[in-house]
Amino acid sequence: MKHEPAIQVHGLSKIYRVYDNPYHRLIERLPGVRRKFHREVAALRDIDFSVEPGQCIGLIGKNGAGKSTLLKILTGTTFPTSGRYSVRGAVASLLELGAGFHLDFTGRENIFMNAAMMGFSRKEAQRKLGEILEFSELGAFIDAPIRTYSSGMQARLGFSVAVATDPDVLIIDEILAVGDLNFQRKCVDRIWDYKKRGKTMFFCSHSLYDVRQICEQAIWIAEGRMRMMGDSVLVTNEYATWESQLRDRPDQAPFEQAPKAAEAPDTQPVILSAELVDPRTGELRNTFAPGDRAAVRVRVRNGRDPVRLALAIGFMRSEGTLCFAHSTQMEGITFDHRECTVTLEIPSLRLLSGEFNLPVWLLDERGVHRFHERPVSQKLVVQNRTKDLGLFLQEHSWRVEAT
Amino acid sequence: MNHVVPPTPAATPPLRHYDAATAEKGVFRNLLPAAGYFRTLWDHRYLVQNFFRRELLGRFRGSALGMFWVLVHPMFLFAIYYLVFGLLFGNWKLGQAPDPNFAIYLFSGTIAFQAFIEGTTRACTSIVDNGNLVKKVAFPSELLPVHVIAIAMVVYLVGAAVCLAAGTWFGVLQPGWSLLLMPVLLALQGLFTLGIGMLLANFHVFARDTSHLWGIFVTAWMFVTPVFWYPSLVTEKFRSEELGFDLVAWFEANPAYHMVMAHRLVLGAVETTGPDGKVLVSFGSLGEHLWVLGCWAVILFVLGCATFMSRRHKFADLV
Repeated sequence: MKHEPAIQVHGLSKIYRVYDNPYHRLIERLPGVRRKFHREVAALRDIDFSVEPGQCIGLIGKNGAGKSTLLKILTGTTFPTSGRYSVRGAVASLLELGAGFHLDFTGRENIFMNAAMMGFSRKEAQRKLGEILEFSELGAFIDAPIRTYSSGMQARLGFSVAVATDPDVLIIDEILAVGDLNFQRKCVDRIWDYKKRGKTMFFCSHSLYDVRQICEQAIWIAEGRMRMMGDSVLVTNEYATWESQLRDRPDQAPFEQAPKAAEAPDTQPVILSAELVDPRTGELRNTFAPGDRAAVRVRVRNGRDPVRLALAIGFMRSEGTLCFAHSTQMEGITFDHRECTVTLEIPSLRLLSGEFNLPVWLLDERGVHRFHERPVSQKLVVQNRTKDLGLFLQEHSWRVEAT
Repeated sequence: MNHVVPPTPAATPPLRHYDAATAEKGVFRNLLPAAGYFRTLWDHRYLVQNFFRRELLGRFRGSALGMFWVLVHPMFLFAIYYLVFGLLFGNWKLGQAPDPNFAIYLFSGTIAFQAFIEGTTRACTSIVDNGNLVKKVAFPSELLPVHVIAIAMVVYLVGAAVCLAAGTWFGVLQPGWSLLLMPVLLALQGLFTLGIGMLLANFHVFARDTSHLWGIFVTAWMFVTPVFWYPSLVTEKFRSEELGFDLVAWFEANPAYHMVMAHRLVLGAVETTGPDGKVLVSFGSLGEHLWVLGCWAVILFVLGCATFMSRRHKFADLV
């Protein structure tokens, strides 16, 4: 069977013509007018790629690089200046949640309006109503005018309608920041559910962490051109390197960018304590030498309704370089105990002299949603016994041969 | 027994394809596909219905009388026409009831032309007014002018009911089978209004003075159409023999002339004679009016739709 790509883009460019005066556009079209009245601003230039069905593509790049323009073109709200594209299947776009909302109307009325705009028939809209109401968690507010909603409630309603369409292709722009903590998790779950069911996703985010976790492939766009496409870990690493060089700033910790959780209430999973210990005695100890055995002990309490959790610990030098980070879900370990102690054992510390902060993150089982963050209570101090220079003591040997 | 909704069979996923090289076809290549408009309209009827509902509810939300205003307005308008023109025109003498003839003539013409004015001006700004939607949501924006025109029609129908009731009461109108042609007339007028509306909406996106210019133009248009005056008034003053050309032919070149006369005929207007037995106004034949209006409607719709569709892909960047 021939495999048709879900999204195919060929030579796509979007060039905006900027006029100082709207009438210059008309004057320019008059016969015999040679003078150009416009400046051209290229948002996208010669974009080529194709996406297989079921793939999840991350889109990264600086602000103004053309990411949103590309998403808008694929959504169908704006059109390219040259080139062609095709999208197979129904598209749902989470770009502008609740763009069609009318503030004077109730949530329920707006659901029907929004559903109609997405091409629903009346029957389909009515069939989906229950699901939308339930997902949005608006309760009695659904019959109050949207004017009385908080921005979070509006976003929740918008998201609920958008995901109710059950699309083949889902276009997402920074979606993981909708509503409160609980709702964010629901959104993540819903998006994960799409992924599991083999839907195609196109995901744009400033969070390299999210892109790495959710997407297999990533596209890096810079100044309207496609800079790189490939494995998401590869592309995000390249991008992070380039970006940090550009800013002349130390590399940011990848975990720093996981969606930020609000201050955790006791219904949510929390890190109770995190400390550096001597693995032999189990007592607190924060000064080690390269090659020593070390351990980090973290006590975790699950939320009122226990969920599967994962834990990550980073080693960050005092000037901000993340030397390495380990996370349990990457090694296939998740847990859902009511309370537990998670210990990271390091049989032989590879770090060289320096002071290190150890941030600890409590994540959901996929490592996408961040429940709680807390640094280890002590600083790790490493003191050399040798004269080795640098950051790491890696295993090595020398060989000298006459040639 | 529970009602079980059968799962919809997995249809082949729709393919959306856009090629910039073939998309900018220009007006002429879009003339023929204009018929596809009705397909889109049918497919998205629920959307248009929702726009319609939202607009209608939004207009009266928060007012105590609500929908009732649609009825109050024409009733007052007619009462004023009746009193003012009934006393001033005709051969009214103290102690007599005002003469309703001219009031009915005026009223039936005004509401019909007003529906056209409201439909076109609202359609003109419909794309820019809904810029938020056009920019952010992928939906057929060519449907945006439809509901505002439909609302103008509904307002007209209420006015027409008032006119019909008053006209029958005073014996000026003699409604009959012609009333059955009202849907046909409204369909043709709707198409006519939609065609002009889409043409204007398209221009208005590029040049925002369009709506103001149109406001002036359409007012002038109303005055050259026999809405406020009997055609006989003009043909008597400016005789064709003296002018050197046939003034009636000019009347008839005006599609709005056929439109207002058709409305009056559908409502049951009959030839009015003055006190001296001379014919003040002859309404012509309904069939001819409908035919001429229909031709204009089709031509303008195809032109308007084609112009609109050939520029549609630029709207989102300009509103």
